[in-house]
Amino acid sequence: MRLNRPPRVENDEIEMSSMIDIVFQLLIFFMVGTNFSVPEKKMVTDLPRSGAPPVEQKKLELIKIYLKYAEGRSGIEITCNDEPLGEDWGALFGMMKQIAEIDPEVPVVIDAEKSMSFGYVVKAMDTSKQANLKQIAFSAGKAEKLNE
Amino acid sequence: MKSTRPKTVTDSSPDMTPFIDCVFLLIVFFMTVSRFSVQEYETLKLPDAKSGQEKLPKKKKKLVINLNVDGDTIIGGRHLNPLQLESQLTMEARLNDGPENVIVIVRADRQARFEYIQDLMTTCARAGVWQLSFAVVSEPVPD
Repeated sequence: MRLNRPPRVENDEIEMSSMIDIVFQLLIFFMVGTNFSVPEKKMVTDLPRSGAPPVEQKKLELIKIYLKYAEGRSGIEITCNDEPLGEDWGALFGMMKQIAEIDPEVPVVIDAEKSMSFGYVVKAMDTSKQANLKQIAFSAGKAEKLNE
Repeated sequence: MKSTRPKTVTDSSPDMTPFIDCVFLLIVFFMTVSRFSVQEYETLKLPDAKSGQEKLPKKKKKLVINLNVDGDTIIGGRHLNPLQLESQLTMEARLNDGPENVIVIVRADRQARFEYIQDLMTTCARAGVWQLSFAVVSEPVPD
């Protein structure tokens, strides 16, 4: 009986279709699972509440930052309490750091010309936060008219 | 003849392969669907800042407002004009028992003009919502 049995065919080929199935599944899984976006952080600020006194009326010392584009739009010009600083963020940080060491509760009011990129405004905000100043506010756009 | 027929082997363990296939498919399906449902984040170039914080106050309704370069305010994929935005903010405040329970997350493009942000802040203040946070990235993104 043994002799009648057909010789066993050795199948050398690996079953590819199932492997490809699995590989595709894994590929799609990781493509969907990978999050390409950069993690976002938040900068918290409070708007003036109705009823609460505006920052200007508290008769405290105040840091006023004004950002505008320099001549020819080559860069920007920072003005801190009417003192022009050019585009020297380091100088601004130094000034703020000095004030923060005396009183970190001094409010910072950030204002900028209308066409200023929001990125620079955030940079001003970032600089004040890094200088450990806690109260940051935005001007409601009246300063624009005064400066022009 | 019966004796030569091979015995039917009863496999006690069920075949897992199709089961796992199905499960994988379902996982991928739901991951994809959930990705599409999160449309409140528009693709924007956010400003970068080092002092951004990870966490926001808990137990508050977070409303994400996207603001693109052209100054369009977009909430959940819908473009809103200032009036619609104000009514949406007022509604959120009412639904969450007062504006103190609502925090607005402003995702503004770093190239957006500052006046758009000022307008947005004015609208928020008019709706009585005073808690605001700006979305930033910690690493500067190249243009």
